Amino acid sequence: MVIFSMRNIFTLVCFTFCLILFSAGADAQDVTFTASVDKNIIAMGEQIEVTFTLSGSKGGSNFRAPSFDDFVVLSGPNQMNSMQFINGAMSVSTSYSYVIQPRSEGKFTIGPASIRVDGKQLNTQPITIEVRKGSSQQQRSQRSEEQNDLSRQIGENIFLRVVVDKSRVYQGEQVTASYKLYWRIALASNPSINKIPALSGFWNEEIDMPKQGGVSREIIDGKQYNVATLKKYALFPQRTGTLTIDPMELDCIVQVQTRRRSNDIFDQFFNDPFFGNTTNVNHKVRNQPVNINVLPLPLDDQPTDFSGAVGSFSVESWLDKHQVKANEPVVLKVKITGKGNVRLIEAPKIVTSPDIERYDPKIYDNITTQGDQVAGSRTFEYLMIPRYPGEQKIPSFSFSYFDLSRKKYNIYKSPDFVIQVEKSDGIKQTYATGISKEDVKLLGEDIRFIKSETASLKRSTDKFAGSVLFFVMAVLPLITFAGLFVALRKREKFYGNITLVKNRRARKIASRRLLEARKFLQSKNKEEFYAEISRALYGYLGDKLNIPRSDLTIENVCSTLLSQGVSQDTIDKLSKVLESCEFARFAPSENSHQMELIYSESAELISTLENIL
Amino acid sequence: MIRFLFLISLFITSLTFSQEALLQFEHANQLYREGKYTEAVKMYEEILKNGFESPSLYYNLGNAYFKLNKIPLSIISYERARRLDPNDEDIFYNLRIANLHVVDKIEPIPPLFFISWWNSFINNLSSDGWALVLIVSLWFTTISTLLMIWLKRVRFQRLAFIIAVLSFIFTIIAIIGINQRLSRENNKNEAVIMAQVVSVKSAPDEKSTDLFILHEGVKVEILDKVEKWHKIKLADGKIGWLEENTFEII
Repeated sequence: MVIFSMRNIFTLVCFTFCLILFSAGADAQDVTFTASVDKNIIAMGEQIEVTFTLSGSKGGSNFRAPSFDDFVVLSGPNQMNSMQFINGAMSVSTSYSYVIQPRSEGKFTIGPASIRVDGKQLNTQPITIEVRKGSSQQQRSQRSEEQNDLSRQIGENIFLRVVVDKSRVYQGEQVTASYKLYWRIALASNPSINKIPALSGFWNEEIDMPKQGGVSREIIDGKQYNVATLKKYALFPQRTGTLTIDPMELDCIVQVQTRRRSNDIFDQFFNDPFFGNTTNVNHKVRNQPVNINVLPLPLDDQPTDFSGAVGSFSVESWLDKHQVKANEPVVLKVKITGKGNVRLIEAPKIVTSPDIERYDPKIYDNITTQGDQVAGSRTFEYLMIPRYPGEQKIPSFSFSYFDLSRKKYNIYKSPDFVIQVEKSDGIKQTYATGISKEDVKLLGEDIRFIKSETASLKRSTDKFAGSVLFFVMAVLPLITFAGLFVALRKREKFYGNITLVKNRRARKIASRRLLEARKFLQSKNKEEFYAEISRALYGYLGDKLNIPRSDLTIENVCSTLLSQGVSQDTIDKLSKVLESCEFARFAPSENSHQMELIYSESAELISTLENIL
Repeated sequence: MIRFLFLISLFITSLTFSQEALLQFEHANQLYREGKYTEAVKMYEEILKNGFESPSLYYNLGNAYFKLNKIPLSIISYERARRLDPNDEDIFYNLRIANLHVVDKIEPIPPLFFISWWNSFINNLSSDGWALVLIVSLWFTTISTLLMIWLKRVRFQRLAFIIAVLSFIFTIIAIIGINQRLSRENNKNEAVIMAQVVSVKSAPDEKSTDLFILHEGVKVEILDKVEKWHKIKLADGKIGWLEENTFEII
């Protein structure tokens, strides 16, 4: 025990001796660069202070911090120089400190930091940090003390609010949203916007803010705050229902007083804010989202041409000229002026005849945001080119909008526009499409010359067809026919129409008798056959020549036929047939061949005589 | 005989009346030749106002209007000339040229070939021409029928019969011809658009929808009339309504 203590004492003495020797003799070489953390096991959300200390040198150059990839740097690097006198010796140190916060759980390594001192590069050892889900009681109490400290200092002393002028609006009605920052602690710099609100569901128009936004003061819950409006939007809801105005996120660097947990007199002394012993802490500020209740526009009396214009507007429309030549342009202007969602106004539909070539309107906007209210004018310019001469009409068009003050739709109706289109100066006006090649050739041709024929010139009322004269002349032949027909009939009666009738019927009777004779010929009834043939011939001749039956002899017939101009040959044939008939009737033997011959001859004779008589 | 003398005297009086019109016509033609189209138009119109007409008169008037670049009026005149003499080639040609200056190009539905053959056959004669044919063929029918009865000789009877049948066919054709030509000549169903531009409506109402647009010079057929609105049909078969002051009946 004694030996032990003796050895200890010896060691201590030696060490002290050496230390004194070293520190006195070689202070230049004794430069260290170390990294330290205030704790290396932390819970999620806790902060760690990492300090890189260079001791033994007045200062290095080219300090390079490790990349805190797995951490969020809340503050730093904060450089601090210190001088210490220990036992008469002076030690100088420079420290660079960071306040970091882990991004996730696990084991992480803070890489080496480097610095150059007198041409030598010094590196620190890497440090391992373990981030746990929970935290040990001790750490928690330590952390929460610190956190409490921070949150007490920051807490209610800085916040962001979005202020809307109304929370129940119609679809398309303007809502003005102002993002206001309230603070009553020191800000190290102007806050920067980290996240711009998306403002989905709204058509937004940023309202210009004065460049040097005035900071005003407001008292909330008895505390005085500085207030600055950071951004202002005119919002036009595009959907109905509940729409949310997204929060905006600000990065503020606030100054907080740091407090050391040491009882060092110097520390306590320097802890006073008067000496600016403060740390800049990066603090995120975001506002609470605000809901807007968007009412649908009344549907029951919505005009058909309504296209979403809401506000109060006045409409003017005019033509730049009322008289043009064909193929020259005319511009129809429609100017809509007023307050509301001017930028969302759609071009009124204008219908024109196909004779007017119409182009899509050009849109000119003149919009201002005076007094938070979007107002101005939108002008539509419709270019039209009338293609054909004549009185071209542009029928009335309409524009309707929802009037917020009256909660009713307003309809503007334009007058009918009339353009007097004159023939164009061009030699040839444009022709309709679909003209054939042949027609194109004809276009150059002149018309044919006038006629000097005069014969057809007459009074238009002097129409022969359909006139009295015409009917008289048309009826005249009919009357003549009827008259003559009746006269003829009378004459026929006077002379005895029997002759006439006989004459006309002779042929018929003869052929009927010949038919009878043919039957007898087939049944070989010789006697009856010849009787029938002679009856046919005598009967026919008697009727035709108008000879009474008592006078019918062969001689008599032949002489009459001769006087009628019948050839001698025919007469001879006839008398021969008649004779053979007389003869054969009483002759006992006669072959059928002879009968056949007689039959055909008599038939021939009748047809020959019929042509002559 | 007395009747016949009366008719002849009627013809003579109408001839003496037209003597003045004839002189006017020749004077107007002279003006046209000199290029004084406005005066020529005035003169032709006066002849018309005095109640005279002829295909040549309408044709010349149409030419004068054409020279004055009054296309719709020239088309009306040509159409009137064509109504009186449908087969005249000059009228057809000039009408076609005038129609080329019409903005709207309307393709007519072509008639069946035998219908157009028949029409051009009928159009060879005016209604008066067909009236003469009718009278002549009636006489022929009458006389030949009587002869057929009168003559005893079969040969002559047969000849008379043939003549009677042929002339009877001619009589029937002439009756059809007169009807067709008269209905065409007295036709008041055709009109020419006079307004430079007019939109054809779907119903006889100012507020009804516009179906299509017509320009001056288009020929339309009038189908119906309701107050001041006329139902019209284009050559291509399109149908719509027009106000009466936008066109002139041919």
